[in-house]
Amino acid sequence: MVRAPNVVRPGLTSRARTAVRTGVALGLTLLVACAPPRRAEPLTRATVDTTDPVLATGETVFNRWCHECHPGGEGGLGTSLNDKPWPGWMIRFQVRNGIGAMPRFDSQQISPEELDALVRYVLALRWLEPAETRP
Amino acid sequence: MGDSGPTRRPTPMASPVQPTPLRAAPPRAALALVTLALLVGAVVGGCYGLRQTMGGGQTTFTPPRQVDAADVAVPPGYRVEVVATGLTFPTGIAFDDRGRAYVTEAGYSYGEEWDVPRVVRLEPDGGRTVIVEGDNPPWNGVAYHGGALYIAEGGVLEGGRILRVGLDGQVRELVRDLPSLGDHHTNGPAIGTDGWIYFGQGSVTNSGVVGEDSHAFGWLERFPQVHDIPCQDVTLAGRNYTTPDPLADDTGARAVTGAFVPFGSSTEPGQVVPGQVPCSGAILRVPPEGGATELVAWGLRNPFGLAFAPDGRLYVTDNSYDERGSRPVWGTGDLLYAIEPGAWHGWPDYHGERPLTDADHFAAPGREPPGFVLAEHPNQPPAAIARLGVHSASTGFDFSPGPDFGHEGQAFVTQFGDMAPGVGKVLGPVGFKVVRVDVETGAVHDFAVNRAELNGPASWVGGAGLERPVAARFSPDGTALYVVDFGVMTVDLERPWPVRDTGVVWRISRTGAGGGP
Ligand code: HEC
Repeated sequence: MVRAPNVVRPGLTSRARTAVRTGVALGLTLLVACAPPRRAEPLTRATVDTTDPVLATGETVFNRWCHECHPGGEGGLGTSLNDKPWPGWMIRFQVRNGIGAMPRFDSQQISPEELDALVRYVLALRWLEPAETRP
Repeated sequence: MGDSGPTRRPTPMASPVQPTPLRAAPPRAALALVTLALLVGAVVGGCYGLRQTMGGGQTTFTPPRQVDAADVAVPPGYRVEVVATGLTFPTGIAFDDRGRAYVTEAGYSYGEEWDVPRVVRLEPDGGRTVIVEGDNPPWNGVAYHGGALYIAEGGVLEGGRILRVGLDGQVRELVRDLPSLGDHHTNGPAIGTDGWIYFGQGSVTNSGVVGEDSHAFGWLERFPQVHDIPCQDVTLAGRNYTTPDPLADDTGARAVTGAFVPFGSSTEPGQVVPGQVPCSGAILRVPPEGGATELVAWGLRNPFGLAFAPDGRLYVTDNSYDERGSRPVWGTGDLLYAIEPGAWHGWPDYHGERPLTDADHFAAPGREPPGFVLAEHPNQPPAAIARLGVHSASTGFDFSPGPDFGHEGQAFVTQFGDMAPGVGKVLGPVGFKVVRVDVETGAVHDFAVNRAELNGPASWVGGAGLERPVAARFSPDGTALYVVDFGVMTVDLERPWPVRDTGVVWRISRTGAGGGP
């Protein structure tokens, strides 16, 4: 993360930070958007490391509640997730509030701990190396 | 192609960040606002209702179908081969004691395409021998047991049957008059450890109510009195649905129809519809020599694939609701069940263990929830083992029998692929591949997919790989997974367009190089 130089007045620092963050978000968007959304096991030749118990929980929660509309994080009934730059807290926000056509999921369905694991899993899935589409 | 997300959504990027309120805000809140603006912008800019449907069948196809195993990707340590091509609407595969493969060609496909249903043996020299032909299609699957083939005859014209066919072609009818005249037919079969023949009987309708969609399928015109039959008595909530009447001469005519009754019949609260067996939307069984049909489980929609797990439990893939007809249901993934004997599994009022009263989940944006058509429910429906893609049409499957193939005890499920827009809208093709399901955790992993930037059938993504995988079976020696690929079926607003002579059988096995799962 780029730091604003000390000489800048606090107000500007905040603005600069915002600008940097927006830039980073934009950059990420372009970066991720250029990559295809597929993380199919046969194509990525790698999987999310579910020997990590948190990621294993995340995988189970994802398959229980999300896979049907975002199969493997790809598009389906819902949008694709793997090619979006959304930070973890925003995935969390979307799960709890279901903005747009998506249903919301309350803590009866997905507990706070499960949500933490789910978010980690969704991010880990996204950051798998994108699909290799040629043999 | 597909859902290109941010590249299609200029709004969030353009939204200017207001410096004034942010100056006082702590950095985290600033970040929050920026990303919230992005999210809101994304949702508004990409309003779901305005998005185009991108189903895998929404393409054009010019025969002949090209087939190349190199275009199908499988995990490291596995390889793909082509076993047979040029089949017409193949739906099932079974092996005899000598390891020879038998394939059903359905003889009928959605889209009202007719042909002769038959079973062909794939000879080791590449030739084909016709074992038996029928006249009441579709033939939806085949199993081999004790020297004979057992065929699930869909029976859109005369009702479903289970047939026992000797390898000499001698046919014996085990069950007849199954309620297959509607949307879904007789499926399976699978042979239990008790030697009984288990089969799936699909529901007549999408969600209990005969409607305009039934007319579009083609059968309402043929059989205007046909409707769903419950396996046990059910008490109706008395909900009725008013639609145009496609059977009337007068184009302005309307019809009022309830659940579990013929088109144009309305129902009253508290009305009881008597149960009977055979019924629709159920798993049934019959002794191998024929005889009375018994109920195994009910409250299913279209239980297409049946297989017994190594532990002896019966598993079933159930194709979930579509967003069509008088009582559309949105957002319900196909379910893999471990069947609970005797239990009602929730159709037409639940999706797995969840009631369809939840508008946030089961209604398309801005629509009413489907609600309940039954006043009482026989039991709380069981949860599924796994939830597969909405509209993936998860069909046949088999369990890996052992270490020769790997992933022992896991289910390999074929996904025929979506039939959007007829079944509802999707933002990208769903299915068109083989997935591996860990039945312990419910985790779904892609196993055989097309090599392309996006998922979809070869006719949509390019290349010469998979189209519509519909059935899977391990070879008797447990070393290879055979995948039956129905062939090309494009879909438009009018109907599905299945293409003859495009069916394929693929074989997936380990590359000797050891290691792996
Ligand atoms: C019933 C289908 C359905 C289920 C289940 C579902 N989603 Fe969604 N999801 C959608 C749809 C549809 C959208 C697009 C919303 C819109 O734009 O109106 C969406 C959007 C999203 C977005 C925003 C991405 C974007 O492209 O704007 C995220 C993140 C997300 N979903 C994550 C999840 C997670 C995590 C789960 C599991 C807890 C989940 N979804 C379950 C249908 C679903």
